Amino acid sequence: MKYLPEDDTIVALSSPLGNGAIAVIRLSGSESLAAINPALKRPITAEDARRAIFNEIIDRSNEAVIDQVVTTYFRNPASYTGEDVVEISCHCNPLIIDRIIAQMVNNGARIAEPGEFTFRAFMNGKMDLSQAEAVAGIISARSRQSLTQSLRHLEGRLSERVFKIKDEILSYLSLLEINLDFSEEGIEVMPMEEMRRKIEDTITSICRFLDTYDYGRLLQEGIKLLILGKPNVGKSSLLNAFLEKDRAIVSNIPGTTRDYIEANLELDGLAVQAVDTAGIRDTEDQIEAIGVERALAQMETADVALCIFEGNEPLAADDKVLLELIDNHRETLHVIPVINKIDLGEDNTVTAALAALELPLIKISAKASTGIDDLKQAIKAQVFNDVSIESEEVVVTSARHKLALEKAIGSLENALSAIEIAAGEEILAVDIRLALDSLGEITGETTSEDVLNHIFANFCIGK
Amino acid sequence: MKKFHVKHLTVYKMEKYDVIIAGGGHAGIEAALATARMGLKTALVTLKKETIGKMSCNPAIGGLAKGHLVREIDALGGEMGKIIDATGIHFKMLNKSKGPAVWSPRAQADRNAYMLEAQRRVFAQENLFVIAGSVSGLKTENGAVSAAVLEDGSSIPCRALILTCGTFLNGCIHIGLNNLASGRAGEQAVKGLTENLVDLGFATGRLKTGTPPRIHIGSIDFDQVEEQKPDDPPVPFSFETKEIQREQLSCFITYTNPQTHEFLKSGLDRSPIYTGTITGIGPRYCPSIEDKVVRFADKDRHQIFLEPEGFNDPEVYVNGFSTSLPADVQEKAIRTVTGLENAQILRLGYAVEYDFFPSYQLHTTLETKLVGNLYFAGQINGTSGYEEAAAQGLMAGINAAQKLLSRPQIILDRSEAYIGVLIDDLINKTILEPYRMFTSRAEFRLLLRHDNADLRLMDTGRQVGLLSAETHARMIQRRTEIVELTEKVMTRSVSPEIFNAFPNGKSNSEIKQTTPLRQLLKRPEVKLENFLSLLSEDGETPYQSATLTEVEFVLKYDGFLKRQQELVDKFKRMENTPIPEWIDYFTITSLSAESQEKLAQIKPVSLGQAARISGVRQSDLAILMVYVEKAHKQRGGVSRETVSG
Repeated sequence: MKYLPEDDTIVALSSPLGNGAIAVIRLSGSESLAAINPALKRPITAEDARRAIFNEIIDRSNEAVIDQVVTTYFRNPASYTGEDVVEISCHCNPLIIDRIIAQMVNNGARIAEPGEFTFRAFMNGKMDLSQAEAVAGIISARSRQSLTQSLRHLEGRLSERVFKIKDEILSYLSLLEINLDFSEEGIEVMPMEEMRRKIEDTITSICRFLDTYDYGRLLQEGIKLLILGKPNVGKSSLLNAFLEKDRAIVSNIPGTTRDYIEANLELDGLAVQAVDTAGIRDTEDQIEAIGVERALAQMETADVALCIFEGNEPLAADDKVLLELIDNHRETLHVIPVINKIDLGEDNTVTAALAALELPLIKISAKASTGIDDLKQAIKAQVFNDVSIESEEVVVTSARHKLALEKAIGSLENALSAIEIAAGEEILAVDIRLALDSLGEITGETTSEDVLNHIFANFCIGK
Repeated sequence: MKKFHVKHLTVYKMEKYDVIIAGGGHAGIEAALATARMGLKTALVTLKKETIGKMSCNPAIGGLAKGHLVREIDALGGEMGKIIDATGIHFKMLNKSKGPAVWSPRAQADRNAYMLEAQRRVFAQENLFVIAGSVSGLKTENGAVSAAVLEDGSSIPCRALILTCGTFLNGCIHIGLNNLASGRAGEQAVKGLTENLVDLGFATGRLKTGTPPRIHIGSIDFDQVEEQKPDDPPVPFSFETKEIQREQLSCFITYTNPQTHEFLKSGLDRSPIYTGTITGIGPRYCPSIEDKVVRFADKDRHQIFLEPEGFNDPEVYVNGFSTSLPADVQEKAIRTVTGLENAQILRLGYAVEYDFFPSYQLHTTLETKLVGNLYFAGQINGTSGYEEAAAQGLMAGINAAQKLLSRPQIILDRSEAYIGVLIDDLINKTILEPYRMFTSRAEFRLLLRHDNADLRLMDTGRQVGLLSAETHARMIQRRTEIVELTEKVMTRSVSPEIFNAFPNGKSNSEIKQTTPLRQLLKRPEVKLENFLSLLSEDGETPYQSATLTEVEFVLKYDGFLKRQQELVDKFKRMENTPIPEWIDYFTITSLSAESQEKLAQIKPVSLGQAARISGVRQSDLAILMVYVEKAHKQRGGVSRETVSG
């Protein structure tokens, strides 16, 4: 059922998702403070209204600090929506944003529908009619905009998958309902043991679907790709080779200290933030040492590192430093050793040393643009290795969808506990229906008519 | 049988009535009794006064979900439960092995006795006048009904008109490829009314339903069929009935077989459905036997209930064998069924097609949107079933009376009653087949139990004046008892000595220390009735079983009930946000075209109702809310609270 309740507390990212430095998460509703305070190092009090406070958000499941933030509390009615509002300025990292929102959802907030903050502002008289009309316009414009070809494709396949899960649920809900509404028809009833197995199967398949969320984030947010190697090994040429093939370039951004270069590019649909580091070099030189240190720091946040070696010359001392780096980091990030300048000949000692790493070794010529496709494939293979899904599979990308799926699992688990206490079909049906309702937030409502349709299509009813 | 108090059976053409009801079926009876009892001068116009209250189809009242409707009708002060209690010959509580929310009473009626009992009540009613005739049109003045027009051209002035015409509007009966205009076997159809309503701007459609053959009770071999015994003691429908007086009898079960199916299939080339003579859509939950055989070809038998129609009636209703195949096929096929080898058909099965008016054309009061003070109830709205019809008849009667008496309209919502679910579905859903009630249609099923219909609805029944003060007072007393008993249960604990002494059937269910009773009740095997002696000082058990059920259910499943209650609360918030009738959806350009059309057609009275209309999206609702607010302000600051559809 589609409700817009007005007295619960809602939360959402209010700034656009992108490359900004700071993101703003907004929380609105009478329980705003209750939703955020448990996660704050310094809980907000009534006296904090209109004050920006430097704060820390803590993941209470492990007491780890998620991020350093600035919280600002606007007490009702002096706020955008007219309700108690808290704005949290955090670092603009999708993972951080997600984890912060998750904290608040755990504490009772609900993820806001599009336009819902403005909607509440209007309902609480914080906006005049012309503004409100503009909101209505924005809401409809936004949904039109969202109907881009690619999105429709993605959404369509997503709902297809959810529909499949719903159908699964519908098939046993129907059996329950038959037993309630048509118990006199003499239709055989599913034993509770089998019902339990089916519910567990559904939970498993929703879980598997949820696992694709990380993959989905990768697709949407992209990965960070580090290019490492000694000076003149061809790092820039490689970057250019990537850029030449794929024209979807945003820009070439020189690093502020000229110690690395960033470029945003796209590898077969995967957004990549490529970082061309200063050369890795075993050096006494202070400035260059700083460069190396920065490169190492980059490794902490990168998803994939390409380590470039020259194929036509034996390993140099700098190369050996790099090999050492690989050894130290291969557990924490995906490393791909790359032999460049393969067009100039191949030194077998290099190949042998790199092969000994037992990592996927790729041979390219950045200049001649050979082997670039293999490299791309290797990058993708590494990235998507973590998430064991097939390439054609649909992935969950939106936090709202993720939440809906998690709610469905929760309801199905409640249904399992109803079986545990030998509750009747009508009790069991409540939670199974709630699970369908949650999935309905993705695909649209499942009505009792759908349940009856399923029954009439599959069972001989009617005496 | 008591004597009829037959009054005024002549047509008083010059006389004006407050309310005229067209049709003396189950909807018409409830509507007529309600308006008359609410003090309005009422005329019931029916083709033949002798057929008022006739059971056209199966001789049973109630059943799954339908039994809930009857209990609700009774709690509101309606008649159906009382009539069946007086004339039922086989009472059965269905789903008794499941949870109390889905128990549902059903009773076979002595068909003739039921009809006569209904007539006795109608004829004895003050303010109610029965007129033999057929309403074939209506007159309007200033957009509201002013008179009913009869077949002979005469007209009777009235302030409100309730149409409860059943399957009679352009009714057409089919047996094989033969068909004739008729509303029910042997009775003429109503002509002209549909056309008149279409002229007034109403949309109409065609539906189909069917009925099985009736066979002679003496021709059944009872040794070959399974007996189904009635409940002992029988549980009455009405909250006012103390006990069932009438003698009870059994029903019987048998099955079709592959040979039956062969014979049925051999007649398909003369089936009005399979040859396309019938275009109306039939109900999927009540398919004809030929439909079942074709659609579920892999099933080698179908269940048949043999329902006697009374002690002095030779007819037996062959439930499950609804058919419109030709006479020779019906006869051959039925005689292949075990126990029916010598069956003698007294009346053939048939299909009937009739006009209905898609119910989005109604307000939730069942008043039409097009013509003021004109109400539709029963099969005319696309429903099937006596109970669905009676429920609508009662609500149409109550609301017509309330309006004429300048009192507030009575709308039951989906969280209050199956009647609320029924009417809300009728108005917001597209009716593609005759609509029947199912418990699965009620999203708040756990809260809508047949045995708490009194708690849910008697206040309303009393408020409109249909329920006696005495009956209402008994319900109030029961409410008090429920609170009392709940309190007792919540405060008592049970010692291991007492608890473990009960035969629980499960070895692991013993307790080691004194445990709160409410905690023990969560165990599936623990029943409240076992602990009654702990709850009253003198060991007496003053509580009715419905009260025990109520308390036990609420305590046992409180977690589940809380989740339902949360949904109800959300639901209510949306229901309480009204949308004024004069909103023009087509000027709200940001709504999707589909939403505009659906909203304009249905004209929801609240945001909650708008949300239930298929095709209306969440973003549409947000937009709607904005415009509702704007429209109110433009109309000169009318506050939201005072405007309702």
